[in-house]
Amino acid sequence: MPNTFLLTRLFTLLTLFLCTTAHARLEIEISGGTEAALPIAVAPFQWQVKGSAEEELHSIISADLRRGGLFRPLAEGDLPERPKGALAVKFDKWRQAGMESLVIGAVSANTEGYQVEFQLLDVVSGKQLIGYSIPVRKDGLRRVAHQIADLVQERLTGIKGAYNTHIVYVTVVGSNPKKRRYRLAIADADGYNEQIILESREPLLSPTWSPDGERLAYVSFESGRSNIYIQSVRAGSRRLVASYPGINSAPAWSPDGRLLAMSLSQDGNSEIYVKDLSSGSLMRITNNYAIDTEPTFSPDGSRLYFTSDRGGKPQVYQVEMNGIRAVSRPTRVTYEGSYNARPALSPDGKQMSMVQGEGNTYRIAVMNLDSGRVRVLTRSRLDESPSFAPNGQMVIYASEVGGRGVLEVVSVDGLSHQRLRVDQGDVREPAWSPYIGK
Amino acid sequence: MPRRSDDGLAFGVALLLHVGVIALFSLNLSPEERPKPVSPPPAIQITAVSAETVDVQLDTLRERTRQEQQRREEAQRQVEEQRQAAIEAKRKAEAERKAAEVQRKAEAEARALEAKRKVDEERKEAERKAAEEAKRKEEERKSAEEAKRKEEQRKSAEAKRKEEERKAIEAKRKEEQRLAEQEEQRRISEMRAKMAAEEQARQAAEAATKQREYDRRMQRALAVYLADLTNRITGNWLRPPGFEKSIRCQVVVRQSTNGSVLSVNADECSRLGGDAFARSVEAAVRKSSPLPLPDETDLFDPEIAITFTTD
Repeated sequence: MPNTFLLTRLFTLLTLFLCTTAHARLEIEISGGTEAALPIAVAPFQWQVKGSAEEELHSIISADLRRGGLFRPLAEGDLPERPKGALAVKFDKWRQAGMESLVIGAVSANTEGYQVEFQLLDVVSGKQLIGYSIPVRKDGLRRVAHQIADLVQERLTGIKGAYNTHIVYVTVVGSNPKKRRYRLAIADADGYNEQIILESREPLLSPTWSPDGERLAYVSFESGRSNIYIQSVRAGSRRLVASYPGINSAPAWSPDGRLLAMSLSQDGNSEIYVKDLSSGSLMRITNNYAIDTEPTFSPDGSRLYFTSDRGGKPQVYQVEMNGIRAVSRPTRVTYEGSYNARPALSPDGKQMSMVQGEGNTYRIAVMNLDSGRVRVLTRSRLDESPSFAPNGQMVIYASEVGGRGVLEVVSVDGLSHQRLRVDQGDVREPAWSPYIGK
Repeated sequence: MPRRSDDGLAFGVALLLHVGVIALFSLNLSPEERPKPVSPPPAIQITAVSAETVDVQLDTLRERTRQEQQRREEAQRQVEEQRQAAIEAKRKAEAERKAAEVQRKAEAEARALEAKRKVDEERKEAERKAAEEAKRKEEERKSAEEAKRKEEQRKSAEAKRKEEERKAIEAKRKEEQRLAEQEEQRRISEMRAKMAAEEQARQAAEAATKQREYDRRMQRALAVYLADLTNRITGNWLRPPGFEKSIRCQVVVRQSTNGSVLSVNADECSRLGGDAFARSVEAAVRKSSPLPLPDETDLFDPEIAITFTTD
């Protein structure tokens, strides 16, 4: 009787478990989980150099990770301990603080500057996930911090970090129109280390990075009319690439960097053209009485997206490309909302950011090109000029606060918003750099 | 020769005496004491001669003797008469003496005899009586015996009959009892079989009920346990955000009896979802340690397969 019972019991359990494998064991399914920012703590790096710490690396890393939206770094005041090295870490404390990961590090001096060591610890399992020792020049501490954030993020999320990248933007300085200056500036992705690469009394517009991150194309009114220039980031040298009659605007690089799409009004109204930068040949893509502008290539170069009001209101259209030539008639891409403009594609080509207008408000939206689903990411009144980070994780855009332009970064899920610190002026027209030197 | 006459006389006298004795004897035969008719004549045969017959014979004899004697007496009577007379006288005296003697003797004898006879008779009578008594007694005894025997026989027969009857009754009773017992036995075994069947059915029903209850309890406990596990781990699973891939992979978790996570094998998740994804599921499991335990210890399994899916 007991044996039969037991057998029946086992059988029952087997049946209950719906065990497909021969080995009888409990099987459960966890679906979804919480796709939330991961808890992480970045402990202050030990400063093992004479003098006080020049940079708070842990703060830079935390800010990066928070801005990216994938992490929820523990506030510095909530850190349960400040461990001196991995061996001193009391994992229990960090677990109790709800952490999954902990970054610790130290900065020491070397002959050329500093040696920055850091370790990413899994406090749940008590194991080290990654550890690096990075030599850096004296002025490179912030960059190392961004690199560490990139490494941490990639290890913990599988998504390549884009913290050690740059942004370009235009600032307007001076309230008096006569003394007003337009500056083309490059900064770290967190807004620090701003460098002015061009200053002009006339408006500067639409800066955009070449795919290799070595050059910038932009529109300058310095000659009194709109021209398109390409400028080397490092050398500062530049050349005029579009000075056609009428408006020359909205330059956009092809993925291989050999073509530059633009909007020209040489034929009366704005049309999309593509110019071969080496041969100088120009190919007209659109031919419509409406305004066609703001072209942008898909990452594989097979499509060109642009804004057109041929349907009455601005909407995003696309045309299939073969090199410099269009091989299809334009088709409409956006339908949701009465105003969709300024398309920019994510590096994987699956998402498209744009400005979505509704009445007097303009917000940044992201459209999934597969599903057509549109998600509005921002909630300000005048958001514009969205640009994807090279990992597709974040979008930088210009917003307006108190009549002054500011830069903000939003994660593509819309959960994380962060305003970048910019030294001064009215900031607009940001563009995120690609990965440089890789 | 004279002797002969003497003898003859003597003889006659003797005869007479005898006859007389006999007669006497025979006379004495029929006294008042009559044989009891209860028993037939005994085996001893007494020849009774009637007195008349004897007298006739004696008369005949006497005639012939008288005539003879007359002739001879006549012849001799003269001679003889003297001598006779002397002798007679002598003889007479003698005879008288003798006769007296004889008579005395005879009387004595007779008395003795009579006494003896009487004794004998009395003895005999006594004997007879005793014999009779004995016989009677014997007969009585025999009869009693017989009766007893018969009674016994009867009794025996009766007893036998009764015994047989009893035996028959007993046999019948026994047979009845046997049948009854058989019936009872059959009834009992039938009842037992029925009871056994009922018991079996009851037990089966009970076992089925228990099994159902057990199954229900186990199912409930399992559902609760799986829900506990699922909730705990799901709550602790912070999936890397921005993870676009659709992943479905299994980790194998070994736990101690108190639910402490001993090991997490997330190789499949690492292969399919990358290191970051694998880390997140491993962290989800490890953060859930100690894992919830089932209410029913039967449900505990040291190894749990957890499928993580991003869908």
